[in-house]
Amino acid sequence: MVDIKYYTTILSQTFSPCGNYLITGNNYGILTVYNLKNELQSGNDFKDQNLSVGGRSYEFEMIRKMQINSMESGEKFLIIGGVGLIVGVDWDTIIDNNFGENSKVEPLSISWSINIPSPKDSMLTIDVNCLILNKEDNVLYAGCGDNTVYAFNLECGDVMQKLEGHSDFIHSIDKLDDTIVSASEDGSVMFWDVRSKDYSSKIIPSSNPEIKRPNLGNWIGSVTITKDWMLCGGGTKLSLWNRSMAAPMTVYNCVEDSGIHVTKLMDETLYAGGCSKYFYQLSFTDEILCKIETSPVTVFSCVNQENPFKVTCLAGSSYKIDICTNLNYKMTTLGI
Amino acid sequence: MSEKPSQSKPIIVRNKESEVDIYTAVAKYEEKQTSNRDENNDSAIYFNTLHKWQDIMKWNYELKNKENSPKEKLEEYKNDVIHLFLILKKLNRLDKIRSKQKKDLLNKKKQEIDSKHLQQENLLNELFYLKKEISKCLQYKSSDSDIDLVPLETFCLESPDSADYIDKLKSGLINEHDLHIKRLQWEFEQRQTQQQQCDEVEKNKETILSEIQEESRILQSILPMLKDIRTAAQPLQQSFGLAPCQARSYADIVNLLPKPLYYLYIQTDAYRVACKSKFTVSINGDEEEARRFDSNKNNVVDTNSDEEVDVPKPKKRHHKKSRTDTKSVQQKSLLSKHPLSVKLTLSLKNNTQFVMEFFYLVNLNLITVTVTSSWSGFSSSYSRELLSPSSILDALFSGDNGKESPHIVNFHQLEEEKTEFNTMEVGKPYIWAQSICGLDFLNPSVPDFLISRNHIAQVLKAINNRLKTRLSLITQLDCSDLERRFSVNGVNLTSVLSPWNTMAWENFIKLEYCKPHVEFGTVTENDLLFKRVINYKTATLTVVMVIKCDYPKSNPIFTLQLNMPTTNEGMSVLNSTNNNSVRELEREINVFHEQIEDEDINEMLINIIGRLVVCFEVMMETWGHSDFPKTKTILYNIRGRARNHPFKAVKHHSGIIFEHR
Repeated sequence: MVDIKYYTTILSQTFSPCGNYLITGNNYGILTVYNLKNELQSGNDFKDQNLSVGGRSYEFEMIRKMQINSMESGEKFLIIGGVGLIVGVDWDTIIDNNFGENSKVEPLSISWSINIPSPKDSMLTIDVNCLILNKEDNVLYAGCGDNTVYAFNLECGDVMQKLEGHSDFIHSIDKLDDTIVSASEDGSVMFWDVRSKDYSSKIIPSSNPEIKRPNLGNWIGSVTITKDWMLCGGGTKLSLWNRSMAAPMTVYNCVEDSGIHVTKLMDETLYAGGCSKYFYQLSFTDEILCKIETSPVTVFSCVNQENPFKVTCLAGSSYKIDICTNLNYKMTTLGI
Repeated sequence: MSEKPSQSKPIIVRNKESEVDIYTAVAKYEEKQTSNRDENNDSAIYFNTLHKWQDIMKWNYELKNKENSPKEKLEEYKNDVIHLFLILKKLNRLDKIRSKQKKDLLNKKKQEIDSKHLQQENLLNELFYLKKEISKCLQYKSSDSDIDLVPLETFCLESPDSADYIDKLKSGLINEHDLHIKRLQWEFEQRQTQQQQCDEVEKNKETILSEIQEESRILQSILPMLKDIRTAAQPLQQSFGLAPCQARSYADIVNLLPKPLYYLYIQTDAYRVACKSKFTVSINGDEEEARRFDSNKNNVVDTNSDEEVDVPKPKKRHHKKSRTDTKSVQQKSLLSKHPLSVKLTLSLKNNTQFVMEFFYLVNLNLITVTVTSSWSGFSSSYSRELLSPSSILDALFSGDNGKESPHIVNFHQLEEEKTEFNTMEVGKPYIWAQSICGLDFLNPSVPDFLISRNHIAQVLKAINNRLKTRLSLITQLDCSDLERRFSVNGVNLTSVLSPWNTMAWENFIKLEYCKPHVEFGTVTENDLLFKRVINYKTATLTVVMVIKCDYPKSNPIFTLQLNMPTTNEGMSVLNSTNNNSVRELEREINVFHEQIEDEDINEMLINIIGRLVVCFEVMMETWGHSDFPKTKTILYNIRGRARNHPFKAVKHHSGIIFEHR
């Protein structure tokens, strides 16, 4: 018999508010909590082999063993996007040092949940692919499988706004101030103003023959924006766009991949990952600053934090999670 | 007359009662008179009256004789006489009453005397009886003194409480008599137990006697038959120039078997008879050699200690000459088999025979098995692999691969002699083989009959089952009409499948997409490896199937590689290490087993491969490549951030729809 663990795919990760714990959710509906402090300390001592020896990580089971598509960390709650459902779980029920002693998989105790109903006469189940929480006004943005970006008021759970316009499911969304950007399977990137219903602008990277990759399709797997820039990629090549000009500034030919699923833009550095052997660190020009070999076949999730310690975690279609304290090399691997 | 005197007496009539009661009243009154009056007075009155009567009669007579007697005087006399007569009468009545009373009294007294007498008699009898009893009791004498008691010394030694009694006796708490009683009790207990033992022994004796009788009866009945056979065979033997056969018994060779094989033989034979299974048990090997071996072994045991002392000397002499020689001899001796072996032959369909031969390695105290079989009609390479004698019985029970000896001691023995356990030569030492021969590797010194008995049925069933599943596996691997099977289910398959081929372990571990499974430990060298290619239009899927020895308990494992044309007429090679879709297809087949109720074991593999082909086609059709137009009912091509394909087949009223998991 094949161990099902071998085929684990981790679609999302997040840190606990205190920053000491890493929470991952996989396709079997299992939520795993790692105590980063312990993991990193043992990593510093270069005792990689002794990792995850009992009591370091523990697991919870999502209702109906639902695939965990996305997660976001709120002040009081861990927000989990499943299939047709967003649930909130009180941090207190997840974070506790004593949980690690119990090897049993406990069911998640859910504090609240929001149902996203399927459209009428449809067998579609709506994956909640991407979640972003605006902590100031407690609004949750969710990019979903029904081609819509929802904005939920977490005070009452109501839908504040539905951003409709894409013709296929949403892969990824990003938010900067009042601007929401969404990347979809249909090959387009749309910019929305939170205050209006319609999109303000639309970019189709695959219409540019330089960016298009016919073998991989036109889909956009991930998008990130800053004030001036928009970084996106997917079936198309990774490309950096000037927002004001709505034109590609750099097309990254140096990245060897068959599909981008993760993009990040921080401190004048670009990060990209996906179906590739490496996770890339790039300059604004088509130049590789650094590349890290990754354990997952495809990287679906990259989370990073500065405090209480600087760490970046890469996860995807593998049971292994790569941990870097410095993005120049892989420090340790979790989940073995 | 009677009324007259009563009337003449006015006292009687004094109380004027009714006329009827007068008589009883008179009677009562007279009874009273009798008791009140004196008898002697009455008798005096009587005699007086009689005298007077006489006088009057005399006077009357004289008077009458005188003539002319005065009439007045006669009348006077007459009156007097009547008066006297009345008196007499009265007296007479009184007398009568009195006599009656006396008689009554007499009777009463007599009865009293009689009863007293009877009572006296009874008492006398009782007295006599009691006296007799007493004399009997006095005469009683217990026979305990006749019993031959255990002497006091041995009693003191053997009886658990004797010391206590002796102490008590000394301290005067009990007397000699009590001690005697205790000794008697002890004697009684002893005798009872001895009696029981005696009974048991006698019973045993009887059963043994009856068994002996039965056996001898059978033997006697065999004898004439054997004579007949012998005489009948003689001419034939003469014509062939053979010596007339020596009388030999079957039982002899069985008795020559070493203990473990003997158990195996007896148990399998018994199982065969009991369950009417289609297999035969026979003994292989040279009987003479076995005899020699047996006697040798006995000698060796005797001279063992001497030999040890002798060994160094010859070693020194032949030090350079034959170092390797002695080594190989030693090796051989370590791995030497008992000359006899037990052969278990299973007859299968098509006159196929499946033969297992069990050997006993004398020095290692180990059972090994070799398999020979005469399969026919299987030409494909995979059938040869699946029915390969060297591996067909591997992992009959989990972890039992027969690679090395289950006896811990053997490892060190072999290590010491630098001997390798070559399973090709001596057979495989499966744990189950030790079990059915009664060897327990935790306690290997003594073969246990019970271990053999408890395992035999289970093991034979497992072997039978193994053969059955292997044959069914071959027919399933042979199956080439997948398309037909699945069009029945409403799914059209257009893929072309190549026949299965076997694959070597060396090749498997070289493949990029197979390595992770080896590293993960799900695939090991013991597993059977097969390979086939599925062509769907321009895409080619290489399927490597791993079948575990314990199939169908654990499902087969698939590893896949997809060769797909690219738009610029190149080829992309995709597998689970570089492509998520292929990884998902693998997951779909390996992880999500659709549980079909009472699934036929003979259909299981066909179903899985069918599903693999369907999922492969679905994957290609939802890939978004122009070469693969949709032929199946698919609701949504790709869903989710991981870009999943709809692999899950759901039965719908209009056919089968493919959904996402």
